[in-house]
Amino acid sequence: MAAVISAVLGNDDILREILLRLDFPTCLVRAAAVSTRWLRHASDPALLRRFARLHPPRLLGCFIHSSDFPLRFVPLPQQPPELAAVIRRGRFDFGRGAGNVSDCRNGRIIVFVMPENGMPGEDTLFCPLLPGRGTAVIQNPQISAQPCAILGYYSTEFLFHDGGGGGMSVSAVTVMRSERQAWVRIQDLQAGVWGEGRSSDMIQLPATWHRCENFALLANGKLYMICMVQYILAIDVASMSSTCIRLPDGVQCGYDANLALSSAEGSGFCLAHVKKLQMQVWCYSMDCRNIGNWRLIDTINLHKVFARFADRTWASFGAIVRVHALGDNADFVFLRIQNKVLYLDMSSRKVEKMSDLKRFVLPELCSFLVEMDEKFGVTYLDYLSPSQ
Amino acid sequence: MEVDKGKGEAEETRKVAEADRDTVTLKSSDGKLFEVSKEAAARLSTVLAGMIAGGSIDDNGTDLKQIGSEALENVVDYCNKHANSIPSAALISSSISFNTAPFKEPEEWERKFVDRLSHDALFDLVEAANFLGMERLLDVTCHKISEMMKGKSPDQIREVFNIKNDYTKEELEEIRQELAWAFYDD
Repeated sequence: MAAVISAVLGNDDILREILLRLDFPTCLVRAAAVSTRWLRHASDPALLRRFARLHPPRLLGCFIHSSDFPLRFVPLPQQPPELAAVIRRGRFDFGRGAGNVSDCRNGRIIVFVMPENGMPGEDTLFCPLLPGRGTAVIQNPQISAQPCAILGYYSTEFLFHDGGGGGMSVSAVTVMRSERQAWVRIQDLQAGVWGEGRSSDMIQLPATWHRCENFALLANGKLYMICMVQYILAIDVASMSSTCIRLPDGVQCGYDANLALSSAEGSGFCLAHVKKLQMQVWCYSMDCRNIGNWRLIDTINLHKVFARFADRTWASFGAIVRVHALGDNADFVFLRIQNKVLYLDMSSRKVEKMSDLKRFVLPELCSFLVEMDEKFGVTYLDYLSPSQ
Repeated sequence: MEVDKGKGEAEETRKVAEADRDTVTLKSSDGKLFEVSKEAAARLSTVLAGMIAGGSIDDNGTDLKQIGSEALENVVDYCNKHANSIPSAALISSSISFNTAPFKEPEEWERKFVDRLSHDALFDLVEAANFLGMERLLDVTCHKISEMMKGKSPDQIREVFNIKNDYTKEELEEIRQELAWAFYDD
């Protein structure tokens, strides 16, 4: 028996095909611990790239923060045992002072934490799935260059994005603006220090600045900001050139309508627009002549898909639905209706209730996503690779 | 090995005996002869397709010296079953295989086909599929082997596949520490 098994598993090509078919990064890591030869294959960058494409990131759950309780993690129900085990070993408690989340991606999260000793709060980076890695405080970046015009308002966001080298990078987006002008600076965090960064020219806005809830997205080399009722400001990260993308007809952000962005495979982005109990999902991409196009990819009657959770008062009181987060490629969405936080899988239309909040919910509630993907594997297997 | 022969398959075999041109005869390393649908063989195996196109098929049995009779029987069985099954939309489009496309999950009958194999027979079949350039069969069998690793610790994987641990104690400890998230609490 041993002969044929060792002949098959001794064949590098076949071994790699088998490794590629393992369901989860956790399985790949355990396989790497079988022997040094298996580690060599499992940590090969070409194999990891293929593995990453074949096994897209998995959604583990979301963070919910409201006036009732500090930030807490709510796992998605019915996880496969492999992911349930990962969640069980994670540490999601960031203390009682944990509040607003800047961004959360690929198992990393930036949370604003107020220390209990009354010291000023700090933006802190956690890796809840890797509790052994500790935390890092993220300082606000220093802005050396200033725009020439006087702009009254100032804000900084921290966003994760795919750094290209396999890991996640953190960027700081600083916006200074007046009503119809904006200036944007993007800086990258490198080894704990903010780089000099790049600035836009003074951007003349086609409409009045109006900041929406799910403000910014950094994806495919572009920064997108929902900062006008009917426009998205898009900035090319490399050249810092800007364009304003007009939203499709009938889509706008307002009191009873809100938007969320997510990255789309390859280029462009996805947009979810919720108004009353209707949701539209759009995809924005560039055609071969470099002209942007909107494409409506889905329309969902939320009352219908939420049947099981729907409440008679929704229709009569004109319930407002908030879209809190949209998954990459619009695979899923987190919504809040009154006191319920609901997860909706777009393709299956399956709904899960994530949370029932107390009656009074302040609008600061936010849900953020924790995903586990290959990048743990990439980073760590690279590090352990004996070929170095 | 006893194989359930569907009605369609039995008919196919009879037809084959009457008119030889729809099938090819393959000869295992231990001299046994197997008939397989020419169309399915050419579609599923790049090596057999090359031999058929190149005219190097022997009517008295094309020698496949690297493949034992048990594995060859499974190969032939797979080809015939494949020829008889109604391919799903996923499989029809599989002729264009994108590197980025997710793996096509084994069909129900393919799953059953590999599930009934013994450990040895499965690995023999992987070797045969690899030798014959049968991408889909390799896909299905590799999928089965990867499933056998599911939920297992490195120790258990080594035991199942009889692999020698060549890590030092320190190296293994380092991996366990650095990659704790991937290991069970054992």
